[in-house]
Amino acid sequence: MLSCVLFLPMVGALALLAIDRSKERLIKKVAFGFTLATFFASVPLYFEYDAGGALFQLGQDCDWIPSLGIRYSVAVDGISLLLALLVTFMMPIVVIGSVKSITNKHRDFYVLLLLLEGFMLGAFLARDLFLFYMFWELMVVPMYFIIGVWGGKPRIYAATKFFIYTLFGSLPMLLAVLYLFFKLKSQGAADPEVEVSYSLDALGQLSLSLKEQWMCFLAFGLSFAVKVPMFPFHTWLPDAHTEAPTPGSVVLAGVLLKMGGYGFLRFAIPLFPLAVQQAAPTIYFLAVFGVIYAALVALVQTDVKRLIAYSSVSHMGLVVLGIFALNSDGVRGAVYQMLAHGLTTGGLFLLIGMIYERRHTREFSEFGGIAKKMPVFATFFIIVTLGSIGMPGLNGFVGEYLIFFGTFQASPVTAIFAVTGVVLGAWYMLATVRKIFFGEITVEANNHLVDIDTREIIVLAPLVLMIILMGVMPKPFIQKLEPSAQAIVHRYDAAVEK
Amino acid sequence: MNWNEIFGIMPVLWPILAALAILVTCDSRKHGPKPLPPLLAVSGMGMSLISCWKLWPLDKPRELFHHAILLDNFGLYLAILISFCTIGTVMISVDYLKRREKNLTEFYALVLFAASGMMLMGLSTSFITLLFGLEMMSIAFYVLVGFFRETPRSVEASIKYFLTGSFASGLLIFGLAFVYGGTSGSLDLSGIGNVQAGGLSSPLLVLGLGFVIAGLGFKIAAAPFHMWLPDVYEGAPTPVTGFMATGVKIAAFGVLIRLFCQVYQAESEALRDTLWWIALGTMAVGNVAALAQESVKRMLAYSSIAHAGYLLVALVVMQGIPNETSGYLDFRDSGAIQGILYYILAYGIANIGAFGILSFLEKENGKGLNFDDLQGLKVKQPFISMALCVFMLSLAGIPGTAGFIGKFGVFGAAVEASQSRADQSFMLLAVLGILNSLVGLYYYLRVPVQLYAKPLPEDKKHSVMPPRPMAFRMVIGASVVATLWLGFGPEIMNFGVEPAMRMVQGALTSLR
Repeated sequence: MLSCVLFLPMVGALALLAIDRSKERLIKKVAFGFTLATFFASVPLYFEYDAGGALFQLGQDCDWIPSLGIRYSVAVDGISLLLALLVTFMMPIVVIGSVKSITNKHRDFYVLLLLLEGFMLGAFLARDLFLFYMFWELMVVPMYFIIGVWGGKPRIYAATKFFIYTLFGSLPMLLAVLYLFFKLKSQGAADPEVEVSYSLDALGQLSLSLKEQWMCFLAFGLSFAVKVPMFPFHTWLPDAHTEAPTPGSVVLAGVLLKMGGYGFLRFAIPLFPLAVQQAAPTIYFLAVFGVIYAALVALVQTDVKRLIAYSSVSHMGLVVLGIFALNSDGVRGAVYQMLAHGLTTGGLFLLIGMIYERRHTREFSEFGGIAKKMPVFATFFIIVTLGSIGMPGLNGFVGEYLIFFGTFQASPVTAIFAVTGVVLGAWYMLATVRKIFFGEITVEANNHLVDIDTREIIVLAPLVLMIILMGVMPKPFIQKLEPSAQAIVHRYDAAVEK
Repeated sequence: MNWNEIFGIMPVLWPILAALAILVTCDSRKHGPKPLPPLLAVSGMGMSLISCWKLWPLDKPRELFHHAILLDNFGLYLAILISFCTIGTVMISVDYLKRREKNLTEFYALVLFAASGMMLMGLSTSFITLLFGLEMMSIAFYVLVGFFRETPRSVEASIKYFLTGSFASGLLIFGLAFVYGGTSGSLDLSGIGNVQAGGLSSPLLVLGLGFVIAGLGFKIAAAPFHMWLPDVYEGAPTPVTGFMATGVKIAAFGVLIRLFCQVYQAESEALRDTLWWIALGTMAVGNVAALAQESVKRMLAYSSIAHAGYLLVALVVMQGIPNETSGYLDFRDSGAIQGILYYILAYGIANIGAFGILSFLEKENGKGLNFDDLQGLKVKQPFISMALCVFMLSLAGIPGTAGFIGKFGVFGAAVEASQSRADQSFMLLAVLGILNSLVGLYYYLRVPVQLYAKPLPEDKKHSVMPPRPMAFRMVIGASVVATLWLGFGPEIMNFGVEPAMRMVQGALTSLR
């Protein structure tokens, strides 16, 4: 079942390659069909996953490269289940959303998009460290091409920066993965009971000295920190986000960034608890600093997309705070915030893309007063914005509330500082809304703006529905991820107390 | 001599027979199409593959012709790789030579001689056979590099290669002579192992080994013996460059592995340290210099230096396990050798493909290809662009390609060795190697950027691309498939690598 979800997009990519490149409509339909099918295939997972049962469920496990001890092993717990659902939910929306913004080389684009979906799902579902690493690095390749080929003007600079940054993070992780494996192998040589493989369960049994934990944590943490992105490794993000085409930004902000937070939760914390304990204050500091710093930088942006990119950095800083609060509330909040941020920021990028298609600019000075011309658009924009700044009743609030709850238990001072970031967030997001939508129309071109059409409403409606649903009814989601979050925290506590 | 011995060296003999057949039956002076020589060459290599296949896998190593040749799975594995590289080179050369109007039959004969020399190197542990194979290969290459004798660049490259190459051979012979003295008269690599295992490190032996390493270092272009490589690679006909980048390295690393299995019988820290620095220098020089290149061919030339560096990392960290019964170190389970065997395969496939594409895209006048010339090629040549992109990603070591598994194996070996010996310097080398491959990423990425992200220049919109010949498409297609296949299912290789590893050390007297 899981493998079916995982490979469906890749099958779709192959199917697209079989279609003649001139049949644009057919290509779009097939791409949409495959993403939708993946979504429908993944929905039953939600119901099959029993939150009260074993931690990892619906798993599949078989030999892949036995000579190197590598297995094909996938399974979900509450966290990866919801994040995988986020991927499958976002992708059909991205496909319809990109119909207008991608104007050339359609087939190549959708092939890459489907591959990207498959790789992202793979990274969320993998239980084998090699498998995870493989998807983790593979993911960068289609994204690189999406930015580099369909992006804005300095796209090559942005794409290369993105690629080099991410690989700079992940290559040390490769060494750390190898280090863990061979450590296990040398233990396996002494004790035949030990199962020598890259599987997370086997590697989790390793007893590492503090120094070893630190080295490996730095290697893993660097790659996750780049992806999140955490201050000071965030500089690739504004460039990549701004230059990427709309669908690229949506995937990047909506899903790809979550990979970093997920990595911390799934790998860094369970494998290296002692190092995490010691590193937590530093990470706290960096995360809070990042939250405030990025919010301040966002305040002075003149390009809407860049502003939202910085707001991503700021919001993902909160996620890191929640994770490293290392209590059940913080972790739950972090995961919830990741889901919420995926929806809202994805939605914001889609909205910006729609206005960009009409006016071909993203400068604030070019807008103003367009709520009169585009009332439906303005309504959607404002709902999503409010979701993003954590208005009660919308999805952002639940996550932020839990994060602050958790952070306050761990370190009250940090929580106080972090809250300023949220206040600043409300400031720049609401200012954005005001500058774009209200006031008098100053630029002549804005008089001829047409409101969004049915296709665009279809793109936005599910997002907004989810934003409201997750805001008023968080229980179905929290319920699923609660045992998994608690398991991570318990494991960590047990390891630290020893 | 008996028939069994003859059968045993048939993989080496077939190319020679085919080469002789080409020389006897085909006349270069005749004008018009000449389909026979490449056909003979491919079928010769095909026969060689078949005889490898008939022998594969041996259950124990066999010594042929009074210790002159050691027939084991390791050598056969190398021979198979070399055969595939040769077939690829020949198939690509057909079209290339035709376009450059230099369709001489001798070309194929020389390629075959070189191939059989390489195979002989892989199958030898005796110094004499080793030198014989090396010279057979080198002399053929001196001619092949200068094959376009009307172009000054080609001639310059040839002379450069000849001078440095013969100097390297001289060093090697000199070193072997010292080793002969140091091992009190052994003409076989196992002599080194026996002396080393005895714990006596005679200065004569160490000096000799130093010379041998220098001599072989020239062949694989390890720093500081790499100076010749960029010019030679650039000046040589492109298919020949591809052949040199793959075949020569495969054969030379085969010899180096066998050599170091013997050398490491004793803990020779001095040699290991020297090699450590050579490996680091080679990676760094190759990667840094490749960054600055404008010509794609030259970039690949420098990158091949870098790859030799990664392979040397594995050589530095090679670990043996003490064998209870014989007292010798046993290298048969070494992850480093496994890594190298994967790596040369992945690297060979990607390079044959990449140089094949370069030789196809090269301009009429033989001027090299710059990065700018690749701009927007995707529009005109989607298949070739995709293939070139796959090869670059494989060379850069991105997962999903064969190159990643190779990189994984090599650096995995370094990490493993640093743990089992508790030696931080190995870990350091692995970290430095990984950082180097990050540098490498940048220049490999320039190719896809040009192909996909840049628009096609106006003046090229209406240019007509030459037709892609069948043979060329077959080679490129097969390389792409193999690169991806080995990237996702590397297990398939184990039917080759495993038996090869098991016998890597056959020459040690006590392990026979």
